[in-house]
Amino acid sequence: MREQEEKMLIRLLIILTPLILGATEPITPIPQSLPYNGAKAALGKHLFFDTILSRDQTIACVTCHDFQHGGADSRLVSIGVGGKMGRMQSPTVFNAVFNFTQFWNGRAKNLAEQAAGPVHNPVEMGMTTGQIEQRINADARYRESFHTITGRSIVTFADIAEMIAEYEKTLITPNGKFDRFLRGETVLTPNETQGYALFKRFGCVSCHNGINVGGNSFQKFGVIIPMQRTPNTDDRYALTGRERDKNVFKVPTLRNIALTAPYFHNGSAATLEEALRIMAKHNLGTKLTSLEINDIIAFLNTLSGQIPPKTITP
Amino acid sequence: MRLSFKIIVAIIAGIIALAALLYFQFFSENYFSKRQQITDQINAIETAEKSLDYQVLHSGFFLYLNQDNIISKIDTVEQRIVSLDNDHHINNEHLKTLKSLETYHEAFQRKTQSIYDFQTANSAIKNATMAILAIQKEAIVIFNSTHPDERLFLKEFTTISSSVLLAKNSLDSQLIDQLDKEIDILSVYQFKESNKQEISTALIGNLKVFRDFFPQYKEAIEQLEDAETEKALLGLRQSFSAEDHTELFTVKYFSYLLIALYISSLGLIIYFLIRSEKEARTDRLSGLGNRKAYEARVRRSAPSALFLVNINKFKNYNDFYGITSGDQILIMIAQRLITLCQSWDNAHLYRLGGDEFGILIDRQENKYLEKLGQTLLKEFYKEPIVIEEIETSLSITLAISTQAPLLETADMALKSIKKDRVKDMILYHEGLNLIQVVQENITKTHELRRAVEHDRLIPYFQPIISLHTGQIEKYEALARLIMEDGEIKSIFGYLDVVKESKYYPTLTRIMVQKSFAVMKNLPHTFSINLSIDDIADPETVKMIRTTLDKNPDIASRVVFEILESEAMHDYAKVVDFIRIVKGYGCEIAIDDFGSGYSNFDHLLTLDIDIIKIDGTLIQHIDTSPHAVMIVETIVGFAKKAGKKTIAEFVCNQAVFEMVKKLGIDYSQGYYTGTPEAL
Repeated sequence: MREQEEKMLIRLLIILTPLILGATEPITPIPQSLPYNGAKAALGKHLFFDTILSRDQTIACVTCHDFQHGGADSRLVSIGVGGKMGRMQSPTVFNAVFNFTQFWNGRAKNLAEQAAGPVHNPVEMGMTTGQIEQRINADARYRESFHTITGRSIVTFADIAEMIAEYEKTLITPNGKFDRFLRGETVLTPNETQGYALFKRFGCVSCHNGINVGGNSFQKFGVIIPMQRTPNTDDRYALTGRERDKNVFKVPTLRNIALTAPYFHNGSAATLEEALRIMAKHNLGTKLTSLEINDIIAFLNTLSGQIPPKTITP
Repeated sequence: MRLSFKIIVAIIAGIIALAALLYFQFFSENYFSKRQQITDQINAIETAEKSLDYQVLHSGFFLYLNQDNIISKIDTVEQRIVSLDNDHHINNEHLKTLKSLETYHEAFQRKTQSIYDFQTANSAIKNATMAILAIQKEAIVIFNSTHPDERLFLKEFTTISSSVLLAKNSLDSQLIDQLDKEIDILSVYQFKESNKQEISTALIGNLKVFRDFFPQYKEAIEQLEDAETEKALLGLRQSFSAEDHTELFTVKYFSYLLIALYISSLGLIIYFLIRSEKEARTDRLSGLGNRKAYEARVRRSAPSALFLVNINKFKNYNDFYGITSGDQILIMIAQRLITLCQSWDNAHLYRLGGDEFGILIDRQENKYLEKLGQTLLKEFYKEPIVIEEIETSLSITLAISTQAPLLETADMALKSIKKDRVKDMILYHEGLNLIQVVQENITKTHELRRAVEHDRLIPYFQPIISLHTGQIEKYEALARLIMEDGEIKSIFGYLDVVKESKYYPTLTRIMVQKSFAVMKNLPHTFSINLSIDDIADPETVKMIRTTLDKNPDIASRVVFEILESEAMHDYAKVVDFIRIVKGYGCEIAIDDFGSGYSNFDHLLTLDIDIIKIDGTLIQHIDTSPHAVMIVETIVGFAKKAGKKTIAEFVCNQAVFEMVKKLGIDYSQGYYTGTPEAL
């Protein structure tokens, strides 16, 4: 009986949702650092920058997760081994650790799982597990480094993914202006303040919230006005096969968004302004004025944080 | 069973019990802590899921919210599931629980998917709701309510927006079904002004969002409400509880086992104790109860009568046939006694000593007991005891007592008849005065001890007269005790006591030493009594030799009288002794010859000089033709063998005349001279 009542109460509370705004700020600052294993992260860093992981030894992780472009790819879609074109625009590796799932459609539960994806993808690095293990085990320095950490003489693919994932814990961008504002360390300009208010009022914040200003739910690309679905795109539909999941993607992070053009899963928006207009029109059913766009962009710029340091402190 | 073995077995049993106890403690502690741990983990999962539900509810409640909270709660539940899933104990002992956990995990994954769907729909619907209200506000400003079309549009708008809110708040799909028609109605309105048309388009767009996402929204909420995870969690609890019950049973049975182990090790120790006690009370040879068992029985039930059965001269059998056969005899006698007293009412048989058996019986009537004893003896002799195919002439003596202490009285009675061996059965009664005898023996022993300690033991000398010359030719040294009051007492009354006491060798040595001292200054030949035991005692022999060495002039005047009234075990020693003392010029006399043990063969082989004819033959020689005959034979033999003869106990003239007539060489006795100090 109590359960029933409880359920009724929950139901009541869920449906009785008139327009109550968020009780607290829906965005939280990035911490200064996350706990990580120094030795593993250092080794992961090596791997991250090493083309040894790609078939023709031309591509490293960093190739498509360029630190100069906010940890993402400035190209429309990433180009893999042998100049092959990928299907998706590379999401940023920065703050990826805060995403609830990885990849545009969330098919990887965590970073280690994600790390395997591009390595195996024939249009990205194009390596099988066996090949990569063979290659790393043939390298005396890697073997030695892995041995020191794992205590095993043979390096497995899981070990490699684990090290890269550990390194990615260091790839966070704290102390952006907005984070400092949230911590009460600075104030926003009137434009930025207005931009943040619009961001909330228009409902952007419904999907772009949390530590990563996104990256914590799946949403449809084109809610009000449907978007043309790119064939063979890796949306949720590719994973679930449910009609409703067509053009549904993991909400991308807006952290460092000013640095990671082009935008969307297909890179279809070259600029922030363009991306904002598309989002307003298709997802919110509204049209933004230039003034509004300027203010929102001013706000989005405050989301750029410190680029991760080159050195790893164990 | 050896004691060390018993101790080791008891210790091992103790150690096993202790080890089991410790293991049980460890096991149960482990069990309870594990159980608590797992219950805690299941509770933690439930708490985390509740917390997640709260966050989901929260996100429906607020227009915008940090949805990281939902994600982090999902992560928490996942982590707790994984942690429980990796639990060693669960994996080893709770496979059903593990399976239920997997079921729950799958349910939770579906729930996660529903939450994701809810998030998607919730964001779209919330934004649309807000947009519709914002558009409505704008529309009221822009649209002209006096214009019929526009007024109608506003009216429709209001109707729709309220039904949309109602639908959202009631989750009523029917209202949404109407939405399509209403969208169609709204779509009919076309406005020339672009701002009005834009409002219309935006409204229709948002309404379509409502229409499109509402089913997903509703479905997601329904799925969240479905409580599939709740059921799965309940299933998990039940599985664990069921398996836990099984484990608890193990703990319970283990504790039973432990108690059983404890009891059995205790039992083992008790068994050993009883067995040891039993062994201690059992005569190994015969299997009968021993003296200890007898005493326990007497203490416990105070039986009214004891039959004490003694094997006559058992020592001889042992010596003769060997100890193994002796044991054989004891076993056979035991068997025979068991058979014999089987028909007795409530009789208990014990082996009380080397050659003594006791039968306790609860009857008191003397006549009955005597009859029973007679029957026993009769039955006992029905068949001879055969050992090594030799029929023995083994006999027993029976003493019966009803007088407490049974064993002591029966024993005294037994000794009293064994002395003269006239009867083979005696019933103890007060008249036997045996207790007094025992008391006297004790007194005598004390007197003897004090006499020895205070040097009040002296030799008296009894003259031995030559029947040829009538002159005193020799003396026999006889021990006398000077009592504390100065009275002189013959050793004769003490001989039994002396033989049983440790003073026997001392007595002999004192006699040798003091006789020599007295006779040093006299010219006479004198004799000293030695027993076979004396001759067998190296210390005594050494002392005699030393004395002879010191007094070479006296040595030729010494006669050693060897008492022959006992069996000569150490025949070789006797031969040796005789050879040695003859070397000093001493003579050897055989004492009490003709008393029963005497053996003519010994006379020849032992190089005897003098035969002293037993006093019991001499004292009645004047009246007993039988004695005359024996004495004549002895004298005849002695003369032929060239030995001298002495008649003892010559107590009157008639005897004196008789011995003289028989041609005996010497006379000794009160008639011819009493013992006196010289």
